[in-house]
Formats: sequence, structure tokens, C-alpha cells
Amino acid sequence: MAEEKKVEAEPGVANAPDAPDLRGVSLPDVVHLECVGRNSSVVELFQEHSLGRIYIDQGQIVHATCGEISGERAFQKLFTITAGTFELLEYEVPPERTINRTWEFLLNEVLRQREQFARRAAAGEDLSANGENTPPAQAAWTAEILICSGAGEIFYHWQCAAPAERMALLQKISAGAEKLIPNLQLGKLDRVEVRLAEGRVVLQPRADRLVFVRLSAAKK
Amino acid sequence: MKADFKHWFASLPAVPGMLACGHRQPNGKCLGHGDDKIYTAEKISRLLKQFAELHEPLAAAEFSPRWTTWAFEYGLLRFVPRPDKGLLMLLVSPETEAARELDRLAEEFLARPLK
Repeated sequence: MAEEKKVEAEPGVANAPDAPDLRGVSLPDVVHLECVGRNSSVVELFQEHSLGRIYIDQGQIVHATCGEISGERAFQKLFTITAGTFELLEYEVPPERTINRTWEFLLNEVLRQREQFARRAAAGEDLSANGENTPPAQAAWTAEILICSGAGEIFYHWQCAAPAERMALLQKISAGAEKLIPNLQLGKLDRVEVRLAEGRVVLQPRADRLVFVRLSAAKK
Repeated sequence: MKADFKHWFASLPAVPGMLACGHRQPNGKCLGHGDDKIYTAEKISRLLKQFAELHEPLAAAEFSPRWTTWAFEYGLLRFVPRPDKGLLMLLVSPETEAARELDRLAEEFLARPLK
């Protein structure tokens, strides 16, 4: 039985897993951050009972289940669920490995399918007639990623125009967080979210790594 | 400060799940409500000052944040800066009414005239 690491939305609240939850984080955000941060965890979607799971091992998506199906098809299906909520659980070894593609490919495929759905819906096609779940319209697009070691060594960056400036920002936030934490008695800092006029930035200033992800409200 | 704003700010501790709230006025004066044992007025003032320092690099990094949320294991800390240098701090327990109302409260703070 997996121990609950952190609850991402109130259990039993029938909000869409794709909509930002109480922390302002949606399902794609969480999967993205877990992968970017090279974390190991299980993301479970449920509505009264479990709808499916995504297994992430050191940042790689290795297994997914959705009802009776598993693998990539299950992974894609989970992102079309429009009711329910999700939790991030401690990692447990999956019963099998059914996914071997990179997380970048898998998440891009989710976004591609959404665009396809949106185009078909805009063209007036009745998607529900085919029993298809329409992905929620709300979506955040990754605009920029930077991952550094705690000491500031850059591991990975994508579409990051000024990695050194971003890293300096992360280091300042990390140092500031260390000052805030003893005063707060709220446990460990998980992430800092910055709401912008359009989109948001998610920072993970951890001792062993610094992660910067900027999400845009619209695809550029 | 407008009586309307004072009344609004004084109503915040009544939101279920609100652990503490603070307001730094544009002139630097701080107001705070919270659990007297853990979140004293002095601690709230210190947090507001520390965040104001942290906000500078964020603002300088071309982001112009509308607000910032620090997600801890046992609480969410929301800071809402205003262009007039006013700053609101809300500290809430996760998965409570106060957590669900964070965006609405932040929008209200941004829209509410102080003077």
C-alpha cells in the first residue's frame, strides 16, 4: 500500500484533474514536474474509486493503468478524464513496465491530441457521439525549463533564453526559503508558484536540485 | 486607510482554515492577525519583510508576478503585491475553505482601494 506523500486536491471533490487544484497545479503540471525533477512517484486519479495510475521512476514514465487497459493507451486516456481528482503517492514498483518512450514524447502526444480534439470540436464534430472524452479546454503549455544541481550546475535546459539568470533567481529564492522555513513551522517547502498575467512559473528550490518551469496560458 | 479595507482585512481570520494573515501598507506599517502562540504579530511582520526582499528578484526577472504561493507540507503561504507597494500575506491550511478561496481573496485585495 503506497503511503500518501501529499494530497493534491481534496478527496471526493469532483473537480477535473486537468483543472488547477488547490495548489494551482493540474495533472499535466504534476506529471511534468515529477519528470523534470527526476522524482519517483505514483500519480493516482480517482473519483470515489481509483480510475488509474501513472508510475514515474526517476523521472521516467514507466507504467500507466486506466481501468482494464495499461501502457501508453492508458496514459493518454487518463488525460481525457474530465471528472475526479488526483493524489501524488510514494513510489512503488509497478507490476510491469509497459511504457518505454520518453516523458517529453508522451506529454507532447497528450498536447497534440488535445489540439486535434479542439480542431475537431471547432469544426462542429460531435465527439461524444463516438464515445470519445473531450479533453478539457484549459491547458498550460510548457514555455521554458531549467534544471540545475543545488550547487548551480546546469543539468538540462529547454527554450531557456537566459539559463544563468534563471539559475541565479532560483538560488536567491532557495536562500530566501531557508530563512522563511524556520519561522513557519510548516514542514518542507514543496514548490513556489508564481502567478503571472499570462501563465505561471513553478520553482522547486530543493537542496539537491533547482527546477524552473514556465507555463504559458497559450502556445507560442 | 479606508474603513472598507479594514473591515475586509478584519474578516479574513474568520475564513475556516486561515492560520494567519498580514498586510504591509505602502508606508511600511504592518497589520497582522493570527494564532497568538505560533503566528504572532511580530512573526507576521518579519515574514512580510522577508518576502518583500524575495519579491525583488522575481519582479526584476521580467515576471511582474500577480501573486506568489509557497506550498509547504502543512500549509500554503500566499503573497500578493500591489503596484502601490502594499503587500498581503495569507497563510492557510491545505484543503480548507481558506485554501479554496485564496485566488478570490487575492483578486479582492488587488481590486480594493486602500485610500
